[in-house]
Amino acid sequence: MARTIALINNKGGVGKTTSCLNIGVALSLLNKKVLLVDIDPQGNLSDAFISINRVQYTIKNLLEGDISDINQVLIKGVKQNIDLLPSNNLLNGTEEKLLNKMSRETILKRILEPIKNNYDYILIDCPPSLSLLVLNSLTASSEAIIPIATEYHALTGTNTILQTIGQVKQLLNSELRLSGVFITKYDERTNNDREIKEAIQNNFKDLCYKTIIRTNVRIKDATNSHKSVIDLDPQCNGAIDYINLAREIISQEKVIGGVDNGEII
Amino acid sequence: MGKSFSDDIFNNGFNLDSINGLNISKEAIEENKKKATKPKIDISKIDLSEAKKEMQEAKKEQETIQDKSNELNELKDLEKELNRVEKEKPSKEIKETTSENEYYTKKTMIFKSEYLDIIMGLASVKDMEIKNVLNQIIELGINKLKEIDNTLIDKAIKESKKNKSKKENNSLF
Repeated sequence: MARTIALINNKGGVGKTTSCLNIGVALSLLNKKVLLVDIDPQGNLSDAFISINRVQYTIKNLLEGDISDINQVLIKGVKQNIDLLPSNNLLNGTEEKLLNKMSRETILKRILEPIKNNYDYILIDCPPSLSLLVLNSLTASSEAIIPIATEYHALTGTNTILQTIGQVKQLLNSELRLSGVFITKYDERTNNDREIKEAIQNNFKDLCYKTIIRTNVRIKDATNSHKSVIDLDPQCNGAIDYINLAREIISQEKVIGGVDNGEII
Repeated sequence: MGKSFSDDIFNNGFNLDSINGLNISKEAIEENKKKATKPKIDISKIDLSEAKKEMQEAKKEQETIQDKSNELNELKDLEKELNRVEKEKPSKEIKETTSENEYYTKKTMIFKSEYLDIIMGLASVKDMEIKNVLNQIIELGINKLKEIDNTLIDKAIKESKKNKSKKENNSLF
């Protein structure tokens, strides 16, 4: 059965999509069978593999019920060991359509159920919000990972995320766990980043992954090229950090923590 | 339009559970509750026949092992006994040899120790029994006496016969 991990943060620009892509590629290189689920209407994750405007069916069609068979939407072998459930900006109108549906929070879970056994890892790239699509992602997942960038107000809003995870665990998915947080965009040359890094590590303690994703111009280059940084420049710091992070994720035998009403337990 | 006490904006058929302002569907909550309380393994659906079969086979194996173990212990006891007997056997032989030696030692106590040493030594060198060594030495002695005085031995034999009829005990010692 796959480890289904939602990458979640309601702040934009912290590196959710970049991390989802690069962790996925790293896992595939480490011989894991990976499904990348793009549930963000921006479709940036899908963009790294396909031309999103030319895709006939996306996750929108599955969520709204136009298509019931996931295999019609799944794009297999976008890279070795990687399949993709794509998205594009047409997903923008989907939440409104789902608001009055029964069990609307469990739709993604039901979509993924038939194929879970085909993968070692399912990574869900969530939109930067705490909306119904994010609730679907958390309900479908066994784990949540929060990327936190070393920027101003880095920790602002993480309480809300933790509370959301706690509430989803309580109401919708008792098996959901917080696997951890990891630091992104870290520049060790600046005092500000060092202080924020320390604050994050002190706050989350064992829940903070040891691997830190350092700021690296090659990561930006890769994004601009619609590629993973591992493919663009396997020797750069960005590639090395993501591979190490993937290894760290693999090394977790079981999830290391949980959230209860915002208190980390 | 004014508000009325009969208006209940919360009594609209939706449940009150919400996350981030989003009302959560009852069905999803119920589904989670059922999953949380349901044991992962339904014991009533487990087929025990295979497990029972395995248990029986395991029991048989255990009995076989136990039997073998008992046999082994018995063999060990036998071995112990055998070793004990083997150890005792040479001591019995030694006793017999010792008593035999004592007998001969008694018999030869009349000889001078230097003669006795020669006799014992000859027995060892020639690999002969002491009695045979003695008899041969005596025979040599008698033949020598015959050379010196050929009548002396005949006289000795006659005298010996005469004495035999008188004495009850024929022992020389």
